[in-house]
Amino acid sequence: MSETDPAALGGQPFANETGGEQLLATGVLKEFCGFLMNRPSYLVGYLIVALVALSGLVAPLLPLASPVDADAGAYLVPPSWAHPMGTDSAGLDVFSRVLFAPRVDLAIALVSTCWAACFGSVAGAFVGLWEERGGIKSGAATLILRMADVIQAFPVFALALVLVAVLGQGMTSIIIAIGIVNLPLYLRLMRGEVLRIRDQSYVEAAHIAGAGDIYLLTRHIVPNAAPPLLAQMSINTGVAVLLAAGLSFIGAGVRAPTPEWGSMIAMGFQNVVTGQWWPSMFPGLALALTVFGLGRIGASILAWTNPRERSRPTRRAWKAFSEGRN
Amino acid sequence: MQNTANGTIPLSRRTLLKYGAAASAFTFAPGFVNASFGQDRSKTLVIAAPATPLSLDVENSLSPGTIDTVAAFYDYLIGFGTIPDTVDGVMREDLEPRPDLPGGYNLKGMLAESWAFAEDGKSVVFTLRQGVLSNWGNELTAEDVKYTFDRKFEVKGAGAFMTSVMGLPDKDAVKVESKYVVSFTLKDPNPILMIVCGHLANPIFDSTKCKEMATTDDPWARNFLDTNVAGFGPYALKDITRGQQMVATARSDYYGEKPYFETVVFREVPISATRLQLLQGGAVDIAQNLAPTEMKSLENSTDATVTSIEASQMLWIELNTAFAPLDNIKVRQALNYAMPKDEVVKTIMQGFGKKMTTFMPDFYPGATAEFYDYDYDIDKAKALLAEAGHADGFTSTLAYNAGIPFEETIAIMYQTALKKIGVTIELKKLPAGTFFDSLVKRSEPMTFNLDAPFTPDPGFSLNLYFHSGSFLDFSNYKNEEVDALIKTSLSTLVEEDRFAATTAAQKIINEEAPWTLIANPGFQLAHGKDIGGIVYYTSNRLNFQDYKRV
Repeated sequence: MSETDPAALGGQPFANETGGEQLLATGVLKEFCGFLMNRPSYLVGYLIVALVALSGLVAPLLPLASPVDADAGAYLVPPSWAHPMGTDSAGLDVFSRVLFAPRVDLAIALVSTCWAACFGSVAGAFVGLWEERGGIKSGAATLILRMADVIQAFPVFALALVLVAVLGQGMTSIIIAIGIVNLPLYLRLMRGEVLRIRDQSYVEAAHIAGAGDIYLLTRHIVPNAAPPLLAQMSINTGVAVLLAAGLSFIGAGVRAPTPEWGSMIAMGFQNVVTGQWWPSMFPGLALALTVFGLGRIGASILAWTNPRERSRPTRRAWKAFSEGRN
Repeated sequence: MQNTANGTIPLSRRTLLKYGAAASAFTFAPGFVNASFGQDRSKTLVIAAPATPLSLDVENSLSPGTIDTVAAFYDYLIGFGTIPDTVDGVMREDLEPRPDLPGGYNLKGMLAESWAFAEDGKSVVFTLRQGVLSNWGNELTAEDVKYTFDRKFEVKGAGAFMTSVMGLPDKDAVKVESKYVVSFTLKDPNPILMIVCGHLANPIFDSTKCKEMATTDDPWARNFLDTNVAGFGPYALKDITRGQQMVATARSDYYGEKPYFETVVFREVPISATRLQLLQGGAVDIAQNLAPTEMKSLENSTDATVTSIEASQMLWIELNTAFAPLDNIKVRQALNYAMPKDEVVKTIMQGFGKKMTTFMPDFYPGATAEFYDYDYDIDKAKALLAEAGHADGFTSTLAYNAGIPFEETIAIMYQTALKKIGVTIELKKLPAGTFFDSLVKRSEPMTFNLDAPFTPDPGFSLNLYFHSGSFLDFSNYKNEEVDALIKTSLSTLVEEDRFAATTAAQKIINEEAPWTLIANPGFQLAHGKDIGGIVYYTSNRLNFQDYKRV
């Protein structure tokens, strides 16, 4: 580390050497795994999401019926060996479509969340840093915040519908729409974190030493603001899955017959009242489980980043401790 | 123990749910209608429909809600006589041509008491009933008929098309001869003038009330007639709240037979499953537009049933000839052979309706299926594509209406069938408004269409969809020979010549296949078993005044 490196003055909490980072990362990963193993209610979320992702990945390799080709003779067939989850009103195999759907649903959710998080947090970081600087920077920060207010003032679905109507139906439009809807969340979250961190002594020290805005953000502020952002991202991915499914349900989602849980529910819900529950029930269950799993992942990250929660003994540890004392 | 000493109801989640459920049940209970309107339930007809009328003025809209309600408020100059349908207890219009009768059909006078044609067929004189009052108490005169047709020329809505098919050149063509006599003078003889007079879009307005409601900015009372009525029909409008309900009451001063139902409640219930449940529970008497599986589920119902009648509705795909390779006749024929029509009717439509074999309703006079040869045949479709130079297939787009759920399932089935001949189609689901916009603008290569020619005449039907100058020629079909044949059929009074022309036109249209034929869905009325008096009209509408409790 050179003497002119402002980080030397700042007391940065993360190691800087590459090897040290690797060691630290391995240690953190190990500790996190242990944390999860001791908390099955969080672990189950990872297992569900892994299973759903895996089903999307291996579905094309399995000997399944085509998820997009209709069998005209198999109209609303109830679950059977030939069709484990039955068929829908177009003669499409529900089981095959439920397994293929994560390829679309998770892709939409992950990409839209990632781009919203990237742009939202970058904007939020600058807004937080510039807010009280005065001049053009302060004006720009206020303008960005007001724009976020405008986006947030619209009902989420109305905004998403307008965007899909303007951009046209398709995956790209949905990704952009959901991203824009979520962008202000990350902006505000990052701004809040920056406001908290920017007054820390190590940041002030770096600033006094002549560090520029970008250097301050990338080396000191963003790395320390990341954990709540990651937690928000995993929760938001679940919300994005729901939003994508909701858009498909109202006809503004992916094009038929693309396997996607929301459109499957929309196509099948009319049959529920006449007793054909399977075309919408199975995708509904898959959707609910996935959102639940993503929610548990988000909760686990929040718990992990909270020192009190992280160090709280698990029920198993309490039991072992009590038995040891007796 | 909860404290209720101060007389207030303690609000908890449980009580909220309890009272909420009770309120919901009360809303849909049969007794609710009585309580709301102070009417005898047996004399009140309650209809659950997907939507209330967009407008009550036929010049503004022919939305499904408008079609179902306008004939209750307005009467027409003439209408078809009725005969028993093949379905027990159902009547239908008598469409059989009767050259021996004035007007060429079994017509009954409504507002017109009698009518007489000139020898050359270029003019007709209507004598109106006397003492007929509108819902505003104004007496019907020849001025009302004149006003109605003047309004069509001026407003230039649906009426502009009507005056054109009736062959009325201008406003002077309709002349007041005396207080109760009005004449129509045509440029050429018109064999369908009389039956077009009975078209749903040609009601007679109360000119006195309309003139009273006109303003400088709105000289033809469009705003007033959009949300109110001024007609000579059996019902008066009591109330309309768009998106909720419309209430009509029977008029005691109506000149004709008084309707059985004194009150009609036309309630908007957008979800078909809810409409079904309301019908099963007896809260409504008629549930409109149920899905085929929902109608099928009523087979074992003790309280409700479905009356399924052969109807003028047609379901097809417009093959827009302005887009390559749909400009190739062989490609269009191949697309017809690839449509699994029998499967669609058997599965998606649950056996309601039948496969479509003609390019107009097949029970209309002059309709013929003798040239039809488009049963599902993938090998033939492949061969035709190869002959057209598209052995490897092609890519196109099929647009469908998000408001009609079965169009999506048919589209998916068709997409799978087309893959077998190498044709890839992308499905484009459009909200109802956008869908109709794209249909009118003819902006998509392939588009679903569900429609019916209301006037039961082959010349009228072919003119509507296949004449190159028609605004409903959504497939951009153009064949000069067909145009000429249609013109012949609409300008000669000799029945044999007319039908010879329409048969020749059907042969060409069948050969050139501007549509992919799918099905005739029929007219299905889901109703309580105590509802009778059903009459089928080619406009596929409800007619409140026909119904009675049996």
